[in-house]
Amino acid sequence: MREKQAEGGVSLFAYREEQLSPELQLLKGIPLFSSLKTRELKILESILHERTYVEDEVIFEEGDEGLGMYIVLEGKIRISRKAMIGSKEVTRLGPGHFFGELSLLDGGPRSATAVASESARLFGFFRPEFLEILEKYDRIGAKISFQLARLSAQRLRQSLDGTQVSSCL
Amino acid sequence: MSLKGVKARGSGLDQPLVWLGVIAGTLLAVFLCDWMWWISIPLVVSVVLYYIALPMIEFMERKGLDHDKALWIFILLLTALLFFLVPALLSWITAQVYLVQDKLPEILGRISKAVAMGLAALESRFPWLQDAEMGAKMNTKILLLKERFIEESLPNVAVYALHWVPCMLLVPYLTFFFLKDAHLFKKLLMRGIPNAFFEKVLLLFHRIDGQIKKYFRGLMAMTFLDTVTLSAGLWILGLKFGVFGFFPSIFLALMCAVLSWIPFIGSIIGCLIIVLVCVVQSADPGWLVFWALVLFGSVRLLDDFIYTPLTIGRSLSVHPLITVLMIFAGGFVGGVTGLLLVMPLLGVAKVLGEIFGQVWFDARLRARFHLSKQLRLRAAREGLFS
Repeated sequence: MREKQAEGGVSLFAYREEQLSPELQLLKGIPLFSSLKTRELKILESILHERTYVEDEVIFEEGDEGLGMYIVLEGKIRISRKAMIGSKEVTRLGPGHFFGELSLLDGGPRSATAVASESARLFGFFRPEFLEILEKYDRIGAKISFQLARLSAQRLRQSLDGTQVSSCL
Repeated sequence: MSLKGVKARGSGLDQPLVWLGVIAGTLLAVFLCDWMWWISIPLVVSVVLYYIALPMIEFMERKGLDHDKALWIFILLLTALLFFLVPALLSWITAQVYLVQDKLPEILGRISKAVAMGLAALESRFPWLQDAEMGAKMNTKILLLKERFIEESLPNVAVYALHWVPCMLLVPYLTFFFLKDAHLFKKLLMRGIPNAFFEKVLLLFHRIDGQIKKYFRGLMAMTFLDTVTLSAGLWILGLKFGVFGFFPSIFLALMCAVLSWIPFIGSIIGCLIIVLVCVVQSADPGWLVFWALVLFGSVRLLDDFIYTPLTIGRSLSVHPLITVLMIFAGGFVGGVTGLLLVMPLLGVAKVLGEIFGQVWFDARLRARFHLSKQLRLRAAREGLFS
């Protein structure tokens, strides 16, 4: 109902949607957070860390102590893994994609290296703050956890089908 | 390529140079705090109050309230509590001040009598004290103090107490904004950390923040246990010797429990206050002082062997030798302000030292930091010479 009114652009809710800051609009467009309401997005925004990287700058390396995941807002990220000789590119991720979610869930070491292949702007979403969200705002925590599990399963399925190389890190 | 021997291992405080930096930084901070006491003391008190109040706000947030609502409910409850408590406390303190004012000559007389008796006992045991005329000199000093106290010292004490009032008014203001916008301060702080060190610093920051929260929760629990035990003991002593009643016992016990936050020196001051109160309250304080000392000693033992391990643990502990040396050094550099602030400042410097040690002695992170600087420079120069 609310969405329909918003699409029509005549309701009070449509006016409220227009009041979203550019950061919130970006967050709203990311599949991982698409189920969150504006109030919930604002709470989430308060715990996200915005970082900028220049071309070829390392975001994290394989084997590093992992703390959380990154969401690409602008630019492209190259994901690679160690190979017999040098490293092998696994995938490239653009705006709206996320990586490093395994460390968000289990806090384990990074399973690949992430480097900005062009100037990039990212949102960092880290384990201590995610746990805080789960503890304080269980509804937001449940929504994010469900979306995270759904998108990870989707990636795994695509990887098994051979349609896409998994980028779970 | 293996990164063994390149990545930092263990605590950042394993490096002796980092420890030296922590001690030097603490003493420099003590000097600056003493120099700018009017802002440093309220700031430290506000940070302590922030960590004390935070669990209550987090409790309300877990019950479904958002942060701002939880904060306002907390402020309202606190204001209501103060509204009832402050007038009662003020009237009690005023009554005590009038009582002390009326009884001051008698109280000073009792103190001088107790000191004279103590010194006489000491002189009879150690003749060299008699040769030095210790008792006579102390008696003259006390008589002088008795004569001049009301005309000179009392107004000075009042003026000293008054000059703290304006800066302490900052405390609720600062605490409110710490509670309201702590996440913004944290984000602002983190924004200044270079990308190469960011995740590591954030990880350490959260670990240390968690430890500090646990420490303050433990400290509050320990203060509560100390107050209950000591006030119960004092009340029983009061009943037996017909001196202080129920509320003064709680007040005295709370004061001693709070004073014991200052390591070593705080306990000594607390003990002296109890002895002084016993001397003032009782006509024949001998046995009362003895039992009060036994009680105080027992509570300290309970505190060290049962309450502290149960509540605070040893998460933030510093070696006792360093603690004592730092208290004396703090007192030397910053006087009373230094004595009060040296341990919290050492705690902060230890945290910063640990983060710095872990990050700076990781050669891989440093290499990434230098590479990032070069890449940023390259990006900034792009198209500049074409």
